Amino acid sequence: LSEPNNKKITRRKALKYGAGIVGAAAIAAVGYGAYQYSQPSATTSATSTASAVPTSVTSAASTSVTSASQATYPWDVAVNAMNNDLAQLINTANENAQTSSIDWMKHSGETINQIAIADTTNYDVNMKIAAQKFKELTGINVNIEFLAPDNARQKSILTLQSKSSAYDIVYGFMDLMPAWGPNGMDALEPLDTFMNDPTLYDSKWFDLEDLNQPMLKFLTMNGKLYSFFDMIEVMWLNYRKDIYEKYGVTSIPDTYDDLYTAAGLCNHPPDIYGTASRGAATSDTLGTACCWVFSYGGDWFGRDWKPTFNEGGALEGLDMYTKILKDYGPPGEASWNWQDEKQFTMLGKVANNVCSFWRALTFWSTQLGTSPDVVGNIWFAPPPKGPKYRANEAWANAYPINKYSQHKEAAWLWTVYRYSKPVMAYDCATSIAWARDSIFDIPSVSAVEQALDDYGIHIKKALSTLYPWFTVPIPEWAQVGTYIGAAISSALAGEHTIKQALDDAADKALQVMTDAGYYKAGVAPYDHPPPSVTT
Amino acid sequence: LSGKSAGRFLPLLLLTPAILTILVLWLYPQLYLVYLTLFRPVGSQNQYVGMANFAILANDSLFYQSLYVGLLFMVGSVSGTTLLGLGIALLFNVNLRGTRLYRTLLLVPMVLPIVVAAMTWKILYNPEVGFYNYVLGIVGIPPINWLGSSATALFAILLFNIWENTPFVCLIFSAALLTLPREPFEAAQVDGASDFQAFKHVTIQLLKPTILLVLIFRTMWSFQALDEIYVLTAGGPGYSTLTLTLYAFLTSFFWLRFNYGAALVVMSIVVVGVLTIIYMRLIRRSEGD
Repeated sequence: LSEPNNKKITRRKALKYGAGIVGAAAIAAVGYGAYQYSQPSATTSATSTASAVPTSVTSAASTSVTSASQATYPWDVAVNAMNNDLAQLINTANENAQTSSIDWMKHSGETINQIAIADTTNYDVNMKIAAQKFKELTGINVNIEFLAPDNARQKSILTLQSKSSAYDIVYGFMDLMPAWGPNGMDALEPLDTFMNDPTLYDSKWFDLEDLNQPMLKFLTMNGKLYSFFDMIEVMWLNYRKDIYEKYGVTSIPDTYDDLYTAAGLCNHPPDIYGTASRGAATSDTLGTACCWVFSYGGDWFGRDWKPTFNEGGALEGLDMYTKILKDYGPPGEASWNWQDEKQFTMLGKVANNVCSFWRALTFWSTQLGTSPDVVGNIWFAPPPKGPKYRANEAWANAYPINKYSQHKEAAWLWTVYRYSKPVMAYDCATSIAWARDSIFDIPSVSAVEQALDDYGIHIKKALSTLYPWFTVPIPEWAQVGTYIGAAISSALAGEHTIKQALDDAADKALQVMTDAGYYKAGVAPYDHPPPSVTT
Repeated sequence: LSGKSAGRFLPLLLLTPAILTILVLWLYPQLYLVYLTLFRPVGSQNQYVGMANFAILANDSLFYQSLYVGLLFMVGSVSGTTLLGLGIALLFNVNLRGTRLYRTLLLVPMVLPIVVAAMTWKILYNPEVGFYNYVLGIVGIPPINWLGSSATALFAILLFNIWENTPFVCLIFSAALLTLPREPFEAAQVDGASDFQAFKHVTIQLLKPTILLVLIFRTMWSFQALDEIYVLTAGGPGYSTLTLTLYAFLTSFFWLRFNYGAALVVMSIVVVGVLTIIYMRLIRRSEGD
C-alpha cells in the first residue's frame, strides 16, 4: 500500500485472483463431497456385512414386517455367485450355439442396425457384450443405438412409418406392437418366416416353451409370432420396513383397504408420504392403475368392445386409486410419470406403493446412489388384492424385425442368439427381470430367490399367469389409454370426480371403437383372456 | 449461348441451388403433409378419403380444446417474451455496470437443450422439494402445486417458455437498438419530449420492423412449442395443457394416426399463417398512420 504504483492490483487481476480462489474452493468442495460419498454410511456398512442367511420372512403368507434393525443385504453373496455363473454362461454361449443346427456363418460380413433403450442398469453393457460374442460366432456386425425410451419410440415409429430399412430391428413398446403388426401398419416381419427354416432355427436348442408363454401370446398376432422379449417386469407392493415400524404398521397390507390404512398411518408430510404413483395424462399411468381395475373385477372393455372402465369394478378400483393418491400421495401427482415416482422414492420420501421398479431399486440401490434411508430398508410383497382378485400386470421389452430390412436373416440370427438360454440368463443379471423360466433352474439363481424371500415364489407365480392386459392388443389402445390416463389425471387435479372424468373418457373411447369398427352394438363379441390374476 | 443470353440465365443458375433446397426441404414436406390428410390407413395401405379427416376434426372436441389452449399459450408467450425481452434490451442499452456479464448470463437458457432444461424445471417446480416453493416459503407464501393443478400448470409452462425464449428476443432488440439513428432522439430532445414520449414516439416507431419480426417468429415458435409441454405435463392435468401441437404429436406418434395428425398440423399452419398476415397488416396500417 505504501508503494501504490508498484503493488497496485488492477481490477482484472483482482477478478482473476477471486475466480481462482472460488475455483479452488469449488474443487475442494467437490473433492470432499466425492470423498464423503465414497465412504460407506452407517446404513450401508451395516447391511453389506450382513449374513447371507435371510433374517426375515415377508411373504404374503406370513404378513409380519421385518424390523429395520434386521434390514440387511442377505443376497449380496448369493448375487455374486449368480453373477459369476451367468458370466460363465455368456463365455460359453458360442460353444452352446454351435450345438444347434443353425448355420451361423450364413450372413458373415453383413452389418445390422438396431434401436434399443438405454437403461440405468447394465442393460446396454450386457447387450454390447452379447453382440461382440455374436460377431465372433457369425461374423455379423451389430450396431446398437441406445436411446432414451421416448426417442427410441419416435425413431422406431419413423423407421417403420417411412418404410425405411435404416434399422433392421426396432424397439417395440407393448402398446405399439399391435399397431405395428398385421392389424395395423403391417410393418413387422413375422418370426415364423425364419422358424420354418432348419438352417435358421433349431427348436430343440432354442426351446420356445421355456419363454414366458403369456407374453409370447401377447406378441402373437393373427397366429404369427412377431417378437421375443426380455426384462419382464411385474408389479409389487413395495414398502419401507423402517417407516412401517416407526408408524406402527405391523402387517403387510394384504388388500387395497389395508394399503389405504397403512398409507394413512405412514403419511407424515412433508417428510414422508403414505404412497406415490403415476397420475400423468398418459397411458403410462395405466401401468399401475390397471392392478386396481382388475383387482376390483373391472376391465377396460366389455365383450362387445364397449368401454366399461367407467362402471362397476373398474370405477371402484380407479376410485380407490385416485383416493389413496389424493389423500396420502404427494402434491403434483396429476402430472407424475414413473420417472417422477422413482425420483421421489429415491429421495426416501415414500412409505409404500404398487409399482415394478422398486424391486430393481432394491437390488441396485447401491449402484443407483439412493438415499441412505432407502438403501436396505425397501422390501416387497405381492400386490394387494381387491374384492375380486389379486391382479398383476407385465411389461417387457420387445425387439421386432423391420419388414423393410435388407438384412432380415442376419437380424433373425442375432435375435435367436440373443434370446437363447445362456445369453438370456446372462441378461437377467441386469435387473432381475426374467424372460425364460429355466433361469430358475440355475442353482445360484435359486439361491438369490431364497435370499429374496417371496420374490422367487411370487415371480414364478406371476409369470405363469400374467397377461399384459393393460395394453389391450389392438392398434387403437394407445389412444384409448391416453383418454383414461387423462381422466385419472383430471380426477387427481380435482377438475372432475373420477366418475365424471371416466364418463368423458368412455364417450371418446366409444367413438374410437365405433370408428375403428370394433364396437357394433350386440355384434362381433370378442373373447379376450381374463385379467392377470395371481391368486 | 451468346454472352447476353448467358447473362440472362446466370442469376437463375446461381439461384438454382437455393431454390432446389427450398423446394426439397420446405415445399415438399408441406405438400406431403397436405397429401397425407387426404387418406386414411387400411392395413398397410392408404385409402383416399378426400376431406374426411377435416370433417372428423370439425367434430373433435379435443381439437377445439387444444386450439384454445394453444392460442392462450401463444398469447402469453409472445407478449411475455416480447415485453420482457424489450425491457431487458433497453436496460442493456443504458450501459449499466456489469451489462456484459448480465448479457452473457442471459444466454444460458438458449444454450441448454430444451428437454434437459425442462426436466430441471420439473424438479424446481416440485411442490415438496422444489426451489420455487422454497423461495415462496421464505417470504411466507404457501406452496403452489405448479404442475399438478390445472389452474397453474399452463402458467408454469409459460414461465419456462418465457425464461427460455426471452434471451433471443432480447438479443434481437439489443442489436436493433444499437443501429437506431441518433438524430430523431436529438430532435425529440430539442422539442422538449420527455423520456417516455421519446420512447413511445421515436424508439417504438423506429423498432417497428424489429417488433414485427419478433412477433412473427415468436408466434410461430410458441404455437409450435412441444418439448417443454410434453416433459413438464404431457398435456395434463386432464387436458389443461394440451396444445394443438402436442395433440398433433400425440395423434401421430403415440396413436399412430398419421393422416389425422397431418390434418391437425395443417390446421396449426393455417392458424399461424392467419396470425402472421394480421400482424403484417396491423404494422402496415400503423406505418400508414
